Amino acid sequence: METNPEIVFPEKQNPLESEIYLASQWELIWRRFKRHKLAIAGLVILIIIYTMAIFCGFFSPYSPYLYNADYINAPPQTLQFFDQDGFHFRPFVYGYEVSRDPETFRMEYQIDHSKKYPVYFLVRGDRYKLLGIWETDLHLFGVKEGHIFLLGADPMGRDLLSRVLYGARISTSIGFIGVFLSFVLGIGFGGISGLYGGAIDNLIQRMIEFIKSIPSIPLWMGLAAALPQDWTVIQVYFAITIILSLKGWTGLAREVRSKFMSLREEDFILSARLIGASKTRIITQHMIPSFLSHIIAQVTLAIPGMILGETSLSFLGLGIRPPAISWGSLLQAAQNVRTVALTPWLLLPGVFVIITVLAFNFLGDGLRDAADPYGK
Amino acid sequence: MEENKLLEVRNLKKFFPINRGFFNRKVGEVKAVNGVDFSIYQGETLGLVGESGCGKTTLGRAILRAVEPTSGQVLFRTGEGKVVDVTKAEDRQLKKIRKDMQLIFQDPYSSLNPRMTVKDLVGEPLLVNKIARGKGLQQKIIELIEQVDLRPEYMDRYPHAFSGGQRQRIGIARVLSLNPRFIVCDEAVSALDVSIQAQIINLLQELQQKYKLTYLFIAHDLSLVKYLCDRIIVMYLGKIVEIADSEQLFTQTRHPYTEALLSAVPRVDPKRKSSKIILKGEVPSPINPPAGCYFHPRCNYVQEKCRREEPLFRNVGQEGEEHYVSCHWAEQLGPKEVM
Amino acid sequence: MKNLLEIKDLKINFNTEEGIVRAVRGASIRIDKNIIHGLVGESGCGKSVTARSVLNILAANAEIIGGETLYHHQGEIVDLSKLHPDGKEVRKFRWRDISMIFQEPMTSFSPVHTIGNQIMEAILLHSDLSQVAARTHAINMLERVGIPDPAKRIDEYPHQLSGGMRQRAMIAMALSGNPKLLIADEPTTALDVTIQAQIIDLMKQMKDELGMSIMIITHDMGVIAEMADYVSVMYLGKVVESAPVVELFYNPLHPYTKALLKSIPTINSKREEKLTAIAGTVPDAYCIPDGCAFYPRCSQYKPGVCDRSEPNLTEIATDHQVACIMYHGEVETDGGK
Repeated sequence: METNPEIVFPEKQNPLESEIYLASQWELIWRRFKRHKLAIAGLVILIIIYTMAIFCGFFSPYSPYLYNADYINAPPQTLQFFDQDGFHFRPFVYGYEVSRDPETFRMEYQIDHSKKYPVYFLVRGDRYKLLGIWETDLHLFGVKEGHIFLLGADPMGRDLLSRVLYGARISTSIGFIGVFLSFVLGIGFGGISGLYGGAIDNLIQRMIEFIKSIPSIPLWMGLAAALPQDWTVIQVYFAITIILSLKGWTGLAREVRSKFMSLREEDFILSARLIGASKTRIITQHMIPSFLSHIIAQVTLAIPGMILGETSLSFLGLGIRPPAISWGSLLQAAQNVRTVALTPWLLLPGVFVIITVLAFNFLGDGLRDAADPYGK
Repeated sequence: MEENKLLEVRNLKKFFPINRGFFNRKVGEVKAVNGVDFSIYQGETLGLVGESGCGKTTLGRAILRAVEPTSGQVLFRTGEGKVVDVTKAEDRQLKKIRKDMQLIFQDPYSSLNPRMTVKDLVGEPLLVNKIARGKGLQQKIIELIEQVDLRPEYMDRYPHAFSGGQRQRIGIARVLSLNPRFIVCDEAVSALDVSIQAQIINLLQELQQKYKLTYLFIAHDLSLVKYLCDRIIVMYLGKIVEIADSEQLFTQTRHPYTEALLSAVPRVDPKRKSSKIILKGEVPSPINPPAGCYFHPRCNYVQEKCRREEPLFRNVGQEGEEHYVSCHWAEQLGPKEVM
Repeated sequence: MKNLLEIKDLKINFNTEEGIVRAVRGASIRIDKNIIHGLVGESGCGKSVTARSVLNILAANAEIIGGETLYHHQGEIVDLSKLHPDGKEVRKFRWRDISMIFQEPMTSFSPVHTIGNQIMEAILLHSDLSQVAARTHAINMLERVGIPDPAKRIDEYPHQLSGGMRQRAMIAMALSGNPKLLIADEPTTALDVTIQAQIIDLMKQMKDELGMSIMIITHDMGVIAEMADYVSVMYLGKVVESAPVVELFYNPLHPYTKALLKSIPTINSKREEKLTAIAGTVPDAYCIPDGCAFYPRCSQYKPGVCDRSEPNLTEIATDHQVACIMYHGEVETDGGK
């Protein structure tokens, strides 16, 4: 009863399965990632935040620098759909009735139900450059008469929502660029360390230990304080990014090193060596793809630290300085107790920081769990 | 080196340093392979057996220079008939030699890069060595996949789509693509299910006949090695204790360790239970092997001389037969039959 | 009554993210008193799951969805599968009545406690012996399983023992409660042949000394032939054949058992004889074939019969049961080889 291994019996096959069989590493990661509801939520939130940051001119109703003495510290308005006549399909905001406190000379705002400003989509307003290239005056929403301050106004009467959206540009991108720098340094130093080992490895490891032992906040503060006052916004921005990534790369370098070291012992790497693959090929085709997904997950988890770093530095007045806007520099305006008591909405940029950081953490957790689709 | 030999190993050693402390000082050595001599003849299947930690895997890898040998020579006859010392070959020469000598791994899961499709895995050696490209490459890959009884339709699939046995076939196709003449099979079937093992063994045998391959078959399954191999090497603690024709090893066992090892193999026959020779104690550490004969602390025939003197590794075969053994008392004890 | 344990039509599912895995699909095994019962099969056939279900120590996502596990306990019959896995009742049976050893003794011992403390913990937990008495008992057990110098070894940590010694210590711990049934899940797979031989001998000796039964789970036909008195062969979650060991090796009936025995080289195999390999691969556990699960690989596959109905385990001769349509009488066969 010789059996022939080539006989093919009707195979009962799960249609889903053959799809999985053809799935590359990234498709498998995506399959696993999709099951993480929280991570998906984080991803969606981040897409929204980054879209708004990139097109901040379009999404904000006003120019963030538009000064308006009539609305100093105006409180947030709420979107209304109902008035005494009932429901309106088009939302509107009520205007303010402004009076000055005779004793403190503070402006006091009351809602004036007689002033109704309907909100329109795609209205013309302040001119701005979309993506810094095309000049336009189109805004997502706005009012044709009166004013709209959905998040209130600051002590100079500027629209806080617009300022938060413009601030997002710097605050969210600094995380990305900082992490990219860390990534390059981390892969570079970690790679050298892991691949060559020996004395070079020893040197790099001791250097990493030294850098890690420097307390972050004083290091950042010292370096940031040393930035010349007359630097342009762009210069300061990049300087801050570099300062933030100076420490960030060390953890990543260790990760990369240990990955290289453990991969060197893997059978499939030996197999590549034995078939005559060059070192370059082994590193680029076999080793890096094996841990890239882990590193991406790590990097995602490192971004919040960068964002918080920028916020802290700017809050202390050492980072992004006005007139440039970042969430940290916005929070700087809310540094005293009086602000907190009288104009609490100035703390709202902090809420954006929290949401972004949480979203990154959720996303990073999901990525980390999905990063190795071949493990058990 | 004689014409009929494909490979000759001379006093090969591989010690792994043990480094400790802040300055990574060397505090000792694991003597994984501790001076072995043997030859492999053209077209034969040579078995290499021993218990875990005896150095059989390291030996297999040191021959291929997958690990750098500490000392000794590995003489290999290339396709053109030249004899080269693999341990001294330079990068370029080594790359050329490696087309001739390849390794089949034990674990079909860890030895295939999970991020590459079957096509890429089988095609990689061809690409890297510039053997084929473009349309010719595609054609060659299909041939190789069919050669190992896999379906070419599946070549865009990733390894996770396949079972252990099928993965092992992919690994074999990959190795075969280089047209090697010598293959080290490192426990090539021991990770597979019983019903799959036979498939792979049959495949290996078919390929051997078709391409005149020479195998060094490393395994711990003695029944399998006896079935598959022409000659068998028995290793203990980094040294060879016995080399003999596979039938002879069982019928005319010379070394006390071989005797105990063979007697311990479970017989697949409930009516003929083995009469086991139970050894005392455990295998000593290869960091500090015992003095004299390494096997003396566990040997049932131990004498005073065994504790002091290392036995000579010599041929005790009759009438020109090769039967090497390293035991002081091989001649006195005479051959034994362990069946 | 000579029955000790009866597993009847046991069904276990695993709920995984990819779907339901029918790990055990109606397995029936009867283990008699004072014998060694071998459970043999390839990876994924459900042999370990079946064994673990006896003690109710399945993974969290496993669910016993049918069948019973009847344990004959002092004249009473208890259905172990119905007991709550963390409840008091089932704990009463573990270790004292039914004990288990595993393939990798390193992972079954905690690395931070001495082996003595771990054995004593088990003894103290299940009996009212004093500390001193428990320690004496532990030393005694270590001695019985052949650990040299047990009074000293009892205070060593698991990593200080070699693989064979750890397995011996594991056996000492499992047997210290004098169980009626020892479940041994691949106890020798991680060991070398010479050590394997020692452990096999030890288990046979302990079985006679303590008058217990052993259920040994393995994929190695050699171990079965050496040890077992009675064998059940499993394939894809079902027992396909059960017979006394000599009967099974000399008169296998199920095509799977036959093929399995032919596919392994024995010490007497000749090189010229090609091994008879079983075609194909074990199907994926997510999509088990309809009908007899073995038909896609079977050399005696009858289209329209084997792929339609699932054969049940039926007694063909005394103590010889087989689940194959060929032996059910209704279908004409060519009688195998």
